[in-house]
Amino acid sequence: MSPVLKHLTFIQTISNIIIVAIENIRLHKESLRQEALKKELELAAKMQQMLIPDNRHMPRNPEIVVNGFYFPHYEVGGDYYDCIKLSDTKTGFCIADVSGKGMSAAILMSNFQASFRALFTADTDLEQLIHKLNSIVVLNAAGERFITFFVARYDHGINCLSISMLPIIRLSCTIPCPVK
Amino acid sequence: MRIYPRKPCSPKYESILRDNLGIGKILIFKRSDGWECLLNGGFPKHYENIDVESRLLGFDDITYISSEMGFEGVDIIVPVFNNNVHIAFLFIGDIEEEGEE
Repeated sequence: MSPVLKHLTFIQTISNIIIVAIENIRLHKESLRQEALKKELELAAKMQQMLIPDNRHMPRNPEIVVNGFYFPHYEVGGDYYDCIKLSDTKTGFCIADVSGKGMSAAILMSNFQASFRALFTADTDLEQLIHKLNSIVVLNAAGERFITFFVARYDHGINCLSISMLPIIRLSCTIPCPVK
Repeated sequence: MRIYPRKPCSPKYESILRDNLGIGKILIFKRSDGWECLLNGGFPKHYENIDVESRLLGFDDITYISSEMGFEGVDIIVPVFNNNVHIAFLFIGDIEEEGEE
């Protein structure tokens, strides 16, 4: 009699052991992959948190009071907003969102933040600033991502709000004039 | 006949089936996220694309295959279970007729 016919139950049993083992290895690898992904997301979330300014460091004086609230829908996004004192009378602020999620988005935004803070001064031409930042993003992201960006500068000395890529808006009202 | 794995499989397992038991042709379907062909040694390529859900899930016991069942070249189909759920199917063909006594 053929050994195969004699040992069909044995074949079934050993196959069960091997198939279950193979599946366990696959699930283990999948679990390791998920764990690595989770770690990356945690790291990206930490980076994301570093991009968001602390309200304690926001301008808070008789001329301007700024508060921020950030509550991401997902754990990690390439979101960024900022408010920077540029001079005694000028304050700059921005909101930005990078396309995509995860570590690479957070790193790109972190790089963007560094460039923005280095280039944005009390006298920077906003249109030129936008073009410079855009060149940096295109270079760093190799054209695979983009950043939606809004930037403005408020001069409470002359009550003037300058917005990127738009004509300067001069607020005509007198004290106190909230920025809209 | 050499058994060619489509995905990494245990060499020892392969050796038992091929060398110790003298199985000439073997094909293994394994369930993971869906059904996939884990090994095909000797069966026609198109057997790897069999719709397992519709054609094999009815096999609850080791079954000797007759010609009218539509699995040409297959002698035996061995279902493999885990917790009463099919996790694999073995197609066995071209088995050695003589064994040790």
